[in-house]
Amino acid sequence: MQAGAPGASEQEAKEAALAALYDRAAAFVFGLALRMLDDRQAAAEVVEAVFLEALEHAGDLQGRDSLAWLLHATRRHCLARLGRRPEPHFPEAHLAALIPARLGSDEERAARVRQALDSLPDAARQAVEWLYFQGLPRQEVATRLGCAQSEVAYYARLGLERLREALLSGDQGGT
Amino acid sequence: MPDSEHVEELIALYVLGGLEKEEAGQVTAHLVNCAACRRLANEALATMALLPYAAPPAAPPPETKLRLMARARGEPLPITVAPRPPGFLGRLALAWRALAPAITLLGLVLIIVLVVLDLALLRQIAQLRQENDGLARRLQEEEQRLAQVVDENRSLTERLQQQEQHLALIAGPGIVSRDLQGTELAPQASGRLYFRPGEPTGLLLVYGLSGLAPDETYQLWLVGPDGPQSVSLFRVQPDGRAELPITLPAPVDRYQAVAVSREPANGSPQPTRIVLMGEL
Repeated sequence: MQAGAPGASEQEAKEAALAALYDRAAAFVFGLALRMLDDRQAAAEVVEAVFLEALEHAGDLQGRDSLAWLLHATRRHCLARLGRRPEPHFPEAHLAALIPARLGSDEERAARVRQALDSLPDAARQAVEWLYFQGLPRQEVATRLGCAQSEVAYYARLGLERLREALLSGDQGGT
Repeated sequence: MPDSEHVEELIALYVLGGLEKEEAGQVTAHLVNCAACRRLANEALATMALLPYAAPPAAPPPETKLRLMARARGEPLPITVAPRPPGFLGRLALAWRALAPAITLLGLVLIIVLVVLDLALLRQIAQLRQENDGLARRLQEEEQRLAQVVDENRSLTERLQQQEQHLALIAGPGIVSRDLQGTELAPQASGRLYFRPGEPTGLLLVYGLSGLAPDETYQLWLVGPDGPQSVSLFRVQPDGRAELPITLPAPVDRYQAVAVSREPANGSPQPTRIVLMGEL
């Protein structure tokens, strides 16, 4: 007689995989949630929700950049908590697939992105951060920057272009 | 349908989520048909996909993993950490936490004010108590003086009654008197006995008798057929006077003589040192 039912061992394997993923990615996920919500309790709740969602979508995650998936799911949860539902919604799996493997490990990737963001002109950096991390509408960003809405579009475009040059130059966009 | 140039400007806002729903819908519709803009959008999206890495990592609370693993196993949650909106008591506690310093300060000020007031009241109470003690002492003194006055009044009344009785004995109708003479032992002394013949009462007045030592007394005698009979023991006032009402077993005029002697404190069975003498 075999020890343990097949269902039980499958469940144990999923739990072990979840624990491993948590150990690798929880600090990134919690850091992003804290950056967006500025509330440790709420950020911890988002971490829990995101990893449970990852457990449900374990099939989707196989062979993909799981940290990128987790981070985009985290942003979705946080924006929902902030009462913002930006249009359109880009699927996490699609976004994760856009990241080229040559950017290195999770830690190297994070360091490069931080450096690139910090090197942006102030207005461009602030426009990108307020739009992306706080989900503010264009009008609110314009008020904060003290400029016209058309200028917000300019700063956002400038910011993304500079980031692309710093991080992805040489890559071709899909069609 | 917006033109490509206009959409190009909006693509960064589009991928960053900064467009209103309607505007975003227009951009999406344009991308379906415009390969150039779609390429730009994909480039922007690939850049945007890296943005969440910019947040600095931070260690989550240790209980988060415990809760997650318990939920993954379908177990009840090990710890309840979800904050609930504060109820009435919670809001009260929050309000207290916010107001506590101010309330504490107010309390301290009140305590100081009360202590100062208390000290002032204590001082006032001590003063009043002192005054009260003084008044009580004065009242006691007045009461003592009143008692003295009442006593004096009583004794004066008694003396007045006595005097009236004596006056009745001296000045009443049918009253007779007999003089007493000092002997060699008291040559300056004199006396007079008033009585009504046939009655057993009378009044003896003496003058000029000298003061006595503490262990001495004067003794009054009436001398009848059976010899001297002791009537009373007495002392004199500082001026040497005494008024002695007397009551005898028989009418006064049955006796032959009256005498006063100086005796030891308890008197003597027979007169020893006679100082006054008179015949009846």
